[in-house]
Amino acid sequence: MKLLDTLTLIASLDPSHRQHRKAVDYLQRLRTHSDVFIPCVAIHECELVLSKKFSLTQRERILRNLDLIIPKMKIVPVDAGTHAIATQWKLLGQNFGGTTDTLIASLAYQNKADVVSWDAAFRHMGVKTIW
Amino acid sequence: MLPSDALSRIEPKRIQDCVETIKEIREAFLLPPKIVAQDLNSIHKALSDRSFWIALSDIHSITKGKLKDWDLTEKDKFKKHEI
Repeated sequence: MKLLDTLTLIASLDPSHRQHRKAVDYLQRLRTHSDVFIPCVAIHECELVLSKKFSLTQRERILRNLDLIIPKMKIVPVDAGTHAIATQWKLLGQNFGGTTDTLIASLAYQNKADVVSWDAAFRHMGVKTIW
Repeated sequence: MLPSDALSRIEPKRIQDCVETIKEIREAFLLPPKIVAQDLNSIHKALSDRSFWIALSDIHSITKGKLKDWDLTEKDKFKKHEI
């Protein structure tokens, strides 16, 4: 199983981003590959990023299109167990990323998944990354 | 059911629409011209690809250049404001 990180999602949205082509390839795999998924928190973090750059009208249009692009059955929810793992990492002082990174790493741990990202924070949390 | 049997159950107009769609996608993305409407899978894939690219192109019309610097440095700054 492979989980797309927020960085990958953001890079796929802007054709000027240096990682755009590869990111779009991974975004397409949500539709074409049975083992590629996206955590719901990545979509949430993406919306937070969009809120810093775009108007409400623009954000609504972007998100409606994203809803068409991302198959609902490929969105992985966060449950209490995910938060429990994230909290354990925080207790041990091993949450090297922000809250969203820690939750994505916890999801990867729960599902024995790799994370599609170039963010080193995941490796520091013992999660394998692919890029 | 063989793909050709399944195709025979679809209205010719619908098949023609799908063939046009495949042509559109190939032209839009500069893919080499090739007849691909030989089975239902390729038609479904073409329709799915088209909806994907239309939605993504619409997003790009808004975001172009505005997220290009969004990378780890930006992300680190953002983490400070994270809820």
